[in-house]
Amino acid sequence: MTGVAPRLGTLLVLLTGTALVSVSIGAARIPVLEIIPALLGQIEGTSRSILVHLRLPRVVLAIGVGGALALAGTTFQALLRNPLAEPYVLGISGGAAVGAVGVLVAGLGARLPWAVPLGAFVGALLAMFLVLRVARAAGGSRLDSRVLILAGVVVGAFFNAVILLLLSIADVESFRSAIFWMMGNLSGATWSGNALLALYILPGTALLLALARPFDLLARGEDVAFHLGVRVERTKLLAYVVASLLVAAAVAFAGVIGFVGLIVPHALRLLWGPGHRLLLPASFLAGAAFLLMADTVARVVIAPAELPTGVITALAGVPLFVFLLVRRGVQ
Amino acid sequence: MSGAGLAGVDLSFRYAPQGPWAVRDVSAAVEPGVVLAVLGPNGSGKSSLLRLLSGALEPEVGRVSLGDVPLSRIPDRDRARRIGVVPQSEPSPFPISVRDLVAMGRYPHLGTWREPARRDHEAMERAMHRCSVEHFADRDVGTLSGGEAQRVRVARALAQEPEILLLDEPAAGLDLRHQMELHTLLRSLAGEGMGILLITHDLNLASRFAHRLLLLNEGHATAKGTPGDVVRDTLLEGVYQWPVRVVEHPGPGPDVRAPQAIPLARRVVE
Amino acid sequence: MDDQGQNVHLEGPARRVVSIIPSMTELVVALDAREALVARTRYDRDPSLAYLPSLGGTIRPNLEAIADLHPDLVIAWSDEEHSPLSRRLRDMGIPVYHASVQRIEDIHRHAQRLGHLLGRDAEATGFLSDLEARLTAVRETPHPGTPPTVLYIVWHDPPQTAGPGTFLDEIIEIAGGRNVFHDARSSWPQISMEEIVRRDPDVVVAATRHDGEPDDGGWLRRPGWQELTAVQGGRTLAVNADLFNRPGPGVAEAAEILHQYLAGVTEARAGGSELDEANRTEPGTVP
Repeated sequence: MTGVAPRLGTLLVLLTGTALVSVSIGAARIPVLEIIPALLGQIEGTSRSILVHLRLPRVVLAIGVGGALALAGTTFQALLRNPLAEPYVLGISGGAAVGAVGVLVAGLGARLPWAVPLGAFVGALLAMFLVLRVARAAGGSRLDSRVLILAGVVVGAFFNAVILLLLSIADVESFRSAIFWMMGNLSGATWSGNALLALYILPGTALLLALARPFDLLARGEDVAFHLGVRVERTKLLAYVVASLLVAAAVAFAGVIGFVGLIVPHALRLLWGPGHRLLLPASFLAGAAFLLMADTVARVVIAPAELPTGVITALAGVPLFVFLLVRRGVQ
Repeated sequence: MSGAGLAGVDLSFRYAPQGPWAVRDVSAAVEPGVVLAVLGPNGSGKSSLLRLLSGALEPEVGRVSLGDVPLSRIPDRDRARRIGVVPQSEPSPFPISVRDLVAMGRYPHLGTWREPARRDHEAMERAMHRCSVEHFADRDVGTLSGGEAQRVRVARALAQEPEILLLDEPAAGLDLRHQMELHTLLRSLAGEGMGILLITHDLNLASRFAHRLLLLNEGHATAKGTPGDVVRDTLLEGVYQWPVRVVEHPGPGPDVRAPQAIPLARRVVE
Repeated sequence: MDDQGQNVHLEGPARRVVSIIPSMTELVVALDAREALVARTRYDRDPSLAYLPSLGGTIRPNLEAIADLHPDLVIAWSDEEHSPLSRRLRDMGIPVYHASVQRIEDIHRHAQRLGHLLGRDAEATGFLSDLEARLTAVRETPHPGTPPTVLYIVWHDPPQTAGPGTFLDEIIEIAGGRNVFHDARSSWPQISMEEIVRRDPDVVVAATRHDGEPDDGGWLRRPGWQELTAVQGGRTLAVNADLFNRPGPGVAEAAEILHQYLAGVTEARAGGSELDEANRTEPGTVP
């Protein structure tokens, strides 16, 4: 496993640079050299307010959500041994959206700002347990990845129908809010929300990183992994639950941001190979940098308005991915 | 059953409750220094028996023990340090180098976090050398021939440094030279004290290289014993439903006079 | 002639009218033609219309339900999105009056034309002169000092405001304020919180509640709002969206409410106690 440290170092530098640029630009331009003085309170006024209360929490949220989604995407691809696997393949986004849209349509969004993330999180957990129950009922004691995918697709389809039902009875304003939420955006970032997110992301990321070697062995089939001493069922269940919790927490605070969790793992695999000891931490760093770039573009490109971040991740991510795929094919 | 080795006693197993038995009342012991060849027609329960002995399947009746300890009570990584398995085939979704694939055999020794130390590298090099794969160690496994890839998978099992080695049709698809090399390797590993079980369709190589044979038919153990006990024409004709003539290996070689079964053209018997 | 450039011909004054535009429904009522209405939408919350059957939301009205009422005039949106509806209504021989309403002058035009179609020409003239008189009275009572900057929030999630060329932009100016997003590039721009904080308006007016609903200002706890000096100083006004977000006869009342509020704000400012703790008020609500 050569080159893990230098490659992760490269990504860390990329992430740091992106973060500095992202903190610096926006509605109010804050030169990189003035960031520290502004934080220390040596610069007053709206620039400091924007920096401390809006922009920095948003940058931190982008890092957490982008990292969590890409890490979860890598995990689901390893767990399900399916290249189409991504964080939302098992219906979590559908459950979260039902929770969030339900809160918005009920008109609670204006009165209780925390009701939307809470609703989304509860919905995501509901979807996770539902999919697990269905997969267990259909697949017996073993967690069969094919049954899991089918269960996820079916549960997701049901939730989508519920979303459409909710939207069709929504009034104009909550309809707008719901659509905006479902496209994914990071404008709800707060320090307290980020602290809550960190409670999931830090231990979740550590647990998933510990599964790197078992994931490598699982890629050779469950039989081979078993013969090499992997606790196959326990590993699969742990990976499923932890990755789902990461996605649930990310969706709760940022809505449904697509493509990060699909494209970043594949791009890294194309560039640096399938070894999970590099792939898992690299996914987190690259996913964080990618979402941060996308969110910065979303913030500034049509200023003073802003685009939903999920639109940028798809618009920028798909051509990038196709480029990597084609280049790989030519070689 | 004696303390050393892997032993399955009176094993019965079926894939569906109330379904047909895949393995019925079979006992098998993989003892140190001994090569045991499991033979039998397609669907006779050979692979199921191997999976029962490896712990991948739980017997419905009977028990499997490793050195007097029930196999199911041995933690997974401890088990993998003592039993190496070469399954019939495995998926290969991503490119991987020979060296990285063999390195997987060290997982039961390394666990989650420990970095490979000198001991681990030595075990890998030794395993690759035994299987003659070290000269293409950096190639992608996907670009190797069937025989080369099979040797790499045996090398991965050897890197586990097991005391028991279970192989499911390891010689399938290998050419004459590689078949002979593989069987010679297994025999010499047994000579160093390893207990080996291999599933094979090749009665004659089994008869020449295995110490003991186990002949399965429809899940039952039809015969077991030395090659001379098992490679007998009436017995084989009953199991395979085809006429055979057993002759002695003409030599030269250490296995001269081993019984060899030659299937006859059906016309001759009638 | 309607806003799609089509002539609307009626044999006589309309007697069975369906309006799927709430502001135009109110205009019909203001022209003293309430009894001509045969339906309402869920957004027409006026209790005096409650007896009418509701057609539901206005995004996709039920064509069969409209046809079943045998209207002799349908008032519909004039934008592309709704044109299949009006084409099918025309195919059934039901006259359609298309309206687009962005500015206060549009209200004048529709009052005159609808007054004509409803046989209420005199009422239209009277309504318009009354409207003009009330707006002029507001306009001609300026506040002392520079006009306070006003952020108008059409909806808070995602924040959307009223830009140039809208009746709300006009109302803010008539009421003696200055729309802080008067320079926006579109009529109803969605704006980022950072931009709002950067512009730091003197007053925040938010149409985040409907008739009869409370607004405890919970949405002000979303990130960024607390950084505004207007929010810190309690200069937020929660207004009834059914009155303010609707370019109908209510624009005069909206202008009067906003004018009165801005008068209080400028008075406090003139008193030199802009950030005085004693002058902080709870987020204002309008009866």
